[in-house]
Amino acid sequence: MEPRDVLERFVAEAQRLGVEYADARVERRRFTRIEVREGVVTPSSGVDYGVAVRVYYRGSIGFAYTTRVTREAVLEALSRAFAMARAAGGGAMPGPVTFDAAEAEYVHPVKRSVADVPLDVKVSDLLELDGLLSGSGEVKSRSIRYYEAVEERFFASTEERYISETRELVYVVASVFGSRDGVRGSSHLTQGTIRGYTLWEKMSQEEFARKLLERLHAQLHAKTPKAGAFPVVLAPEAVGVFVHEAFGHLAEADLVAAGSALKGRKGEKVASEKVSIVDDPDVEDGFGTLRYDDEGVRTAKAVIVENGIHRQVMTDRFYASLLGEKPTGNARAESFRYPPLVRMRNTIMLPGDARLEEMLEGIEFGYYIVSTAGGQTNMDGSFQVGIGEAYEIVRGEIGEPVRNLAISGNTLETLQNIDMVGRDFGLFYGVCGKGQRAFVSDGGPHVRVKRLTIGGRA
Amino acid sequence: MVAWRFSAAEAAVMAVRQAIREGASEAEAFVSVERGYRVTIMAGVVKDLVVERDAGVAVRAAVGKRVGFAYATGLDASSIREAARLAVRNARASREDEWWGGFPEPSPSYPEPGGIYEASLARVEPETLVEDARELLGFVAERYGRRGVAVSRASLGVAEVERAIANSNGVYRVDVGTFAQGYVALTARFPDGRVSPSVFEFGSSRVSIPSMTLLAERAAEKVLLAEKVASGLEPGRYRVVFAPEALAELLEYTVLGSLNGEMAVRGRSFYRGRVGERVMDERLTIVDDGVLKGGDATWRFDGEGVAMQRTVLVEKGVLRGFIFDSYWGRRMGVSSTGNAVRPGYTGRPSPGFTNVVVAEGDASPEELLEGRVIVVYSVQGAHTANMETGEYSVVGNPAVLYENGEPRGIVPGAAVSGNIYEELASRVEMVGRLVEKPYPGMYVPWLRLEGVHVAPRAG
Repeated sequence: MEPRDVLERFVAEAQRLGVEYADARVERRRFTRIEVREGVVTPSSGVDYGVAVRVYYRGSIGFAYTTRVTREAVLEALSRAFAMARAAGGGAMPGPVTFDAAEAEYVHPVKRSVADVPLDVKVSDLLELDGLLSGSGEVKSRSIRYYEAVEERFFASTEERYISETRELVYVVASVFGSRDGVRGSSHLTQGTIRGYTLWEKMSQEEFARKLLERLHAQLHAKTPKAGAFPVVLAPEAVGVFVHEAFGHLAEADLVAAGSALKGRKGEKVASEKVSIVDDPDVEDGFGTLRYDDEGVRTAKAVIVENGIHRQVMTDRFYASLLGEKPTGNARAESFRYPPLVRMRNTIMLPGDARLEEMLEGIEFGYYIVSTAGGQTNMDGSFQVGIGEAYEIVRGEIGEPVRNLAISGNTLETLQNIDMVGRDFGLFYGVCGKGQRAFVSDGGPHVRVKRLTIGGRA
Repeated sequence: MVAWRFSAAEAAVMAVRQAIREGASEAEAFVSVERGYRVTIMAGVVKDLVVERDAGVAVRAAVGKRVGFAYATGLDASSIREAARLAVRNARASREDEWWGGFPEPSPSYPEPGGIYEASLARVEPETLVEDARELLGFVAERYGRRGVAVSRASLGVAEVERAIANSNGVYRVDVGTFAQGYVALTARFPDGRVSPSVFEFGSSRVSIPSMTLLAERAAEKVLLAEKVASGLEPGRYRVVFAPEALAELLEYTVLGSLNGEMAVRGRSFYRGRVGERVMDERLTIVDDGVLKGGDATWRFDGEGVAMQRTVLVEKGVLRGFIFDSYWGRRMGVSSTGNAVRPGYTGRPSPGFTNVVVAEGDASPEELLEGRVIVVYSVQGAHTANMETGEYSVVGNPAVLYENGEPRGIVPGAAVSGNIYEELASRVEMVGRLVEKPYPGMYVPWLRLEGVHVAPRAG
C-alpha cells in the first residue's frame, strides 16, 4: 500500500466526519546502528513504519497511531483519534493555524546515499577509528556509536496539503575513558551530516581520534577549578549548548505559554545588544535542516533575539494560534508514536566582530570553556551546563586544563553579561530530549561573559 | 487484546524459526504489544489525548560468534521475516566476539511477584483520564491560583503491555502487565514578577491510577517555598539534605552506573574489584528488586527470558555485587542477575536496573531538618556527573534554606558540588525513615550529609 493512497483515503474520510482539522503522518525510517565497545562490534538495524493521526474537534486534540499502514488500519486510527477528541466533550485548545492546499515533495540531496554503502564498509570504517583509539596508552575503555537513518515522511491534512520529505541522517558519538596516576577522565566527540555517507570526509578517523585523545590527555592532566564567579570565554561548541539548553527551551512557544522566563518579554531587551540568536531551518548540513515540519508547515527562520531584543518565539500550529504568533514550522515528532511538540532545529548565535585574542586580553583570571557534557534548564531561567574540556585563563593567555566543572546561572542575566561576540562560527550535532528525542544542531562563535558562576570544588 | 495477525508468542516463535532458516546458528526474538491511553496538559490546557497501539518484533541472531540485532514494527508475517532477515545479515557483517557464549537457557523456575496486572486498569476508558486531568486543573486553580501557581505541564497515562520471548535454546515465555503513570509540573509567578522553578511530581502504579490532585499538592508545597528568597548566603560547606528526587537523580548517574556489571567488566566502575569491601556508610543498603510486588519494573522474566530476582548490591555499606545480563555476567564469570533490560522491542537487551530500593534509615523528618540545613529537592544537570570518579557539580533547584525546621526561602541558583562516593562513605549524618518513589522504579529515602559545597548564584 503506497502512503499516498492511504493518506488520500484518510483525508476523504476525515472531511466526511466533519472534523475541524485533521492530519496524518506516514513515516518510514530505515536505520542502522553500529556499536563498537572495546572493539566488539554489534550491528543493529530496523524498519520503523507507522502512521500517526490527529484530529482537532471542539477544542480537543485526539491522537492515535498504528504500526499497520493499511487503509483499514488508518481509518481505524482516525476513528479512535476522533473518539478521543469527542471523549473530552469540548476542550479549551484553540484551533490550529491553517494553510492553503498544497502539493510538495522534497528530497534532501546526498553525495552518496547510506543505502549504497555496504554494512561491512561501515563496520571497517568504524574499526579504523577504534584501532586508532586503542593504540593510546592513556585509553582504558572506549566506545563508538554510529547511527544512520533514511527518513521518509508523508503528510496530509484536511486542508488537502500533501507533503513528503526524505532525508538521510548520519551521527557518530565516540567516547574514551582513561586513567593516569589515579586521575580518571573521559572525553567525547560527536559528528553528523545529512549529506549521506560523508562523515569521514567531514572529519577523518585520524582527526577524530586526535581530537578525542587530546581532550582525554588534557582531562588526565587537569586540575580542579576554583568555585566562584569569574570571567569566562565560551568556544563555539559550548555556546551551541548554551543557546540550545539554557536559552532555546525558554523560547519554545508551549513553554512560553506555560510561563517560562521569556513569557511576556517580547520587544524587551533580554540580552546584550551584541547578541542575536536564531533558530534556522536552512543552515547548510544541519540536523535541524528541514523543508517542512511534522505539521506540514513550511519551515521559516525564527529570530528569537535580534541585537539583544526578544523578537519571536518558536511555534507549532496550535501555539501560534494560542499566542497570536507567526507559524515558524517548529513542530517535530520523534516518530509516528508521538504527537508533534514545539522543538528546536538549528539554534545558533550569530557571529559578531571580535577575535579570540581580543576576548582573552584583559582577563586577569578566568576560564576558557571548549566543550560540554550537556546541560539542563528550568522554566525559571536557571541553567546548568556540565563542562568537558576547559582551561584557565591567566593574564590574557590560555593556561592549564581544568576538570569536572559546571557553569550555572540565570540565562537572561548571562546573556546580558556577554560583552564580546566572535567573528568565527562552528556548528554541532546532537540529540535533544523533551519527552521525545529530536536531532538538532546548535552553534555560534566564541563569546565572552563578564561573570559566570563556576561550580567547581572548593 | 488488539487483533494483530499473530499473537505475541506466535510471532516470537516464528521469528526465531525464520532467523534459523536464514542461516543463524542460534536466535532469540522478543515481542511487545502495547495498548493504552494518555492525556497531556500543557500550559494549563488539556492538549493531546493519545491512543497508543504499538507492536513490534526484535530479533537477535548469532552466526557462530558473530551477533546482530534488528527489529520491525507490526506483527504480520512480512515484518517478522524482515526483522529476522536483517538480524542475520547484521550478524554476518559483524566481527567475531570472542566472549559470545550463546543465548540463555530457560531458568529453573520463574517468580510470581504479584501486583503487576489489574484487569480494571486495562479497561480504563479515556474519559476517566480526561476527568482526572480536568479535576487537576480545577483543583490547582481553586486551591493555589491566588498565589500565582499554575499547571505548566502534566500527563496521565494507562497501558497494558504484553511481552513474549523465545530463543533456540528453548526459552519460551509470555507475560502481561498493566501500568499507570502520571506527573504534574507546577510553576508560580509571584507578585514581584519572579518565576518559581518548575517542580515535577511523579506518580505510578501497576494497579491503580495515581491521584493527580495529590501530586499537585506535593508539587505546590515545594513551589511555594520559593515565595521567599534566602539571600546573602556565602559559598561554603553546608549541611545538605537531599530529598528523594535529588538523591535518586545523583545516584542514577554515579552509584548505579558503577553498580552495573558492564561498567565493572569494562573497568569504568568506581566499585570494580571491591566486592566485600565497605564502600558506603553502614546505614546504606541498596537492592535491585526485579520481583518487588507491584514494582514499576517488576516482571516474571527479563529482556532475554531469565527469571527476574532480588539482588543485594550494597548491604550495610558493604559492596555485595553488580547487576548483570547473561553476556556481561559470563564475561565476569558469574550468572545473569535477571537484569537484561530492553527499551521495548526497539532495542537489544543490556544490563539495566529494575526497581532500585535504597533501604530506609531511622531519622524522622524533624530530625533531618534540625539546625541550619539546605534542602535540595531536585537537581539540574545530574547527567553531567562523572560516574567513574563520583565528582558532580549540579544546580539544586529548588534548594531551600531551613533553620530549626523553618523554611527561610529558596537559595537561587545553588551550585552544589562534591564527590558522591566520598560523601556516601564518610559524610552521611542521617538516613530518613521515609522511603519515597520520586520517579518510576526508584525507591529512595531522604539523606542528610555534612560538609557539602554550595555556591549560591553570583549576584
